[in-house]
Amino acid sequence: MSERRRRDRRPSTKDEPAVPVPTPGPPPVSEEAARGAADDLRGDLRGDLKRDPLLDRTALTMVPPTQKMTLQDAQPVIDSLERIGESDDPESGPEMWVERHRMPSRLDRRLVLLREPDSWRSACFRVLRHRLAEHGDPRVIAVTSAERGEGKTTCAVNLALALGECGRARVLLVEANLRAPSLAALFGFTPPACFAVQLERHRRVPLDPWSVVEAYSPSLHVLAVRAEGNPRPLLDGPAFACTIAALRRGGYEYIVLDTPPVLGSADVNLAADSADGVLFTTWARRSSTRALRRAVEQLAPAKILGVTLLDV
Amino acid sequence: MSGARSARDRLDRITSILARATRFYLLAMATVLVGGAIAVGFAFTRARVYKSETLILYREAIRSSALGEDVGGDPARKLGMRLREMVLSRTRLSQIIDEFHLYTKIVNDRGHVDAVDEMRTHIAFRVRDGDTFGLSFESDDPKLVQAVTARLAEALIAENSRHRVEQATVTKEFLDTEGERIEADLKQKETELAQFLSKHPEFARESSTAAATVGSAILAAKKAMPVGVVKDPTLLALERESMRIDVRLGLSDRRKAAPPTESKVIAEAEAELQAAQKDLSDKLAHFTDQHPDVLVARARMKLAETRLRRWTALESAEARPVDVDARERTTLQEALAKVTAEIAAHRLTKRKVGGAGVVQPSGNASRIVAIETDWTRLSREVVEARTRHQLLEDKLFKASMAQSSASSEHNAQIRIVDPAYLPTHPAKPGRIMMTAVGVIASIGLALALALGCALLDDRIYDRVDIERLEVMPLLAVVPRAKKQKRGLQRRTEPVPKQAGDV
Ligand SMILES: Nc1ncnc2c1ncn2[C@@H]1O[C@H](COP(=O)(O)OP(=O)(O)OP(=O)(O)O)[C@@H](O)[C@H]1O
Ligand SMILES: [Mg+2]
Repeated sequence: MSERRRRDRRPSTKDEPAVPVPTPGPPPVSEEAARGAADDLRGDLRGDLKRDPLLDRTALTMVPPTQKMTLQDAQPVIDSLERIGESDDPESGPEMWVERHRMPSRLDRRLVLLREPDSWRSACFRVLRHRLAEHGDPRVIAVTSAERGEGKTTCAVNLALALGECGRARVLLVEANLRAPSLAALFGFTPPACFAVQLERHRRVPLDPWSVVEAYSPSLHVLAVRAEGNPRPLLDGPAFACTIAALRRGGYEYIVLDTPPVLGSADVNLAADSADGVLFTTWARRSSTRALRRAVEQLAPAKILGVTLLDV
Repeated sequence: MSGARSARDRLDRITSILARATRFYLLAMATVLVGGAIAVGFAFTRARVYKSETLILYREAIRSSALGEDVGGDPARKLGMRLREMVLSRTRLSQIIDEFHLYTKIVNDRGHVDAVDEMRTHIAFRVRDGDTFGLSFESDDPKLVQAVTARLAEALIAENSRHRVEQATVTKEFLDTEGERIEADLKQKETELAQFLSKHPEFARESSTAAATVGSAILAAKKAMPVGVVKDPTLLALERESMRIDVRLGLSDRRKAAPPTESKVIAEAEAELQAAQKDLSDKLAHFTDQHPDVLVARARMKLAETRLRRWTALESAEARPVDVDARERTTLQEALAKVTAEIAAHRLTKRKVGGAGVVQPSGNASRIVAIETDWTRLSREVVEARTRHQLLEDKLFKASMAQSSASSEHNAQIRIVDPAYLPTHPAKPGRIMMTAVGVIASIGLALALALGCALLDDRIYDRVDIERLEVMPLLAVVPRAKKQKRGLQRRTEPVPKQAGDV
């Protein structure tokens, strides 16, 4: 169990003027004060947290919610700063600001494991999890496809959910598709900090904490890109590799990368360099074998784990 | 993924292609619709075509084999081709086009040549079995079609008979001139032979045919005589001469009694003449004077007559009684004595010289050999000329037969069995048929198109398609989401409760 800590540093949101951030950052508050503030805003939330055994296990340190979170998002939000993993050594991994979201009443149809956990489709993703474990149990998995709309996001999200199901592992889902991000929209939240911006900032301030969103399940964290005002930057290969390495050290057992399509850019080649293996997705009646072959050729010699066929 | 393919895999592959083809059902349906529409449009906008046919029979009243024309190859086919050429002959079609004002547009725009070509595409000439031929023409006016078909058949008949008459006449003329030449040749040869015989009457007894063989035997013996041959040719010639003189001397006594030895041919000719006469009278009893069979019998009789006349003339010339009077008898006896003496002298010299030596023939002996050679040559030439003459006569006879049969009305070769009819219905295929064919064809095209698209389609439909690629393992196949009638499906699994979940 990690030691509860509270830091004076929050992930900077300076580059995001759209987000009103109280300046200067939240004053250092004691645990008591934090809880009190939380109680003020959302009456029984604390009690819920207390009652939730999972949350007890993860032992979050609560911080007072920001104005933005309570007013802009319809769902209750809790900010927390935590260090993931067992080690107490502050240098062992980056610090994380975790923003917790309640599950909305409407779920995207791509969230198969949440919408229909008993279905055969969900089972297929669980089978995929097991097959991957057989195929060398890769820890950083880049999910990609040859062309657009072939189910990369669908597969990545559900694989991440399956990997973290029942708290079996800590999973981070990273949006590596900076040009056409879809994770935030899919989960229905606006990330407190855009992943692209954080990536940029960590080149200068490597020890800055990362701001992630806990998406409906305590074992799944998401590093999403904000869709609005996105300058569509290129993927910064070295920074991305450092980030992935740091996040791995930070205690995530699995990192799933939702990447852009292979053909048409070199982004996947960069992402694949940081990954243990590449998982291809194909969408029945949509994907062509020719494109798939060319994509595999383009990624060589990256390790190809296999392919999933969706929507048969 | 890779590895041995089972039959089931192959079946999967086939079914996957078929399933793929069914995905192009929209394209296939569109093809069928468009094809069907085109077929219907074509069938109902096309001008209706009428067709009239006439059936003609090619028949020879006098078989051409009887006339000695060679019937080689496949006669029906050859004949069919010849008749077709006649039907489609440019000049004839051109005339018919002018006569009926056919294809006026083409004639005005592009001229007669193209109009004839167009007309040819509408004329059909079919070789039926046996000697019947179907001649048909099609166009959009039933009356016109009938008239043109009838006219085409007429034209064919006229053309054919003209062709035959022309051919027979030319052959006849050629054979006539050739016959005259050979006749003159024969006459000259016979005169030469007669002159020779009057000079050397001792040869008269040797038949000209026998002479030809004997003479050649002498010539052969002379040519092939090796040194030391026992019989001396000079001696032989002298002996033969003495024999001939002997015969002439003895002949005067036996001459009258001896029946003619060469009358066998004449007897044959007479028998043939009688047979021909009988045949003719038979035929006349059954048929009219103009009937081809009667014509044949008459011609046969004529031939037998001429043959008999010729042979009797020859016989009388050859077997002219040799008049041997007393004065001539003494000369003959003298000559015989001379020859006998010469033989004796020759034998003597021969004995003196020895068996192997060659004795120079005396002047008389050489003369005899020369005369014999002449005799042989003349007789052979006459025989040859006669043979040639006879052959030509046969040919001439056949040619005149052919000519008369060609010009005779009775021996019309082409007959119209079925005259051209007036068509009441448009020719097949009918509209329904055409539409059906068009629709069936477009269905076939649609199927081919769908299958072709399925083969070209490289999209992934099923796990088989990925397994066939063999580039990477297939880890999971996620089925399609079920269509939900209710807009929303609430989660059913107890997801970790979140803070604030009230
Ligand atoms: N259950 C479903 N039924 C039908 N369509 C679906 C379903 N789930 C997802 N889709 C559609 O399938 C497409 C593929 O989805 P997904 O976002 O996973 O593809 P992607 O590869 O991530 O696309 P992109 O390249 O744009 O990131 C999307 O257009 C989505 O709307
Ligand atoms: Mg996507």
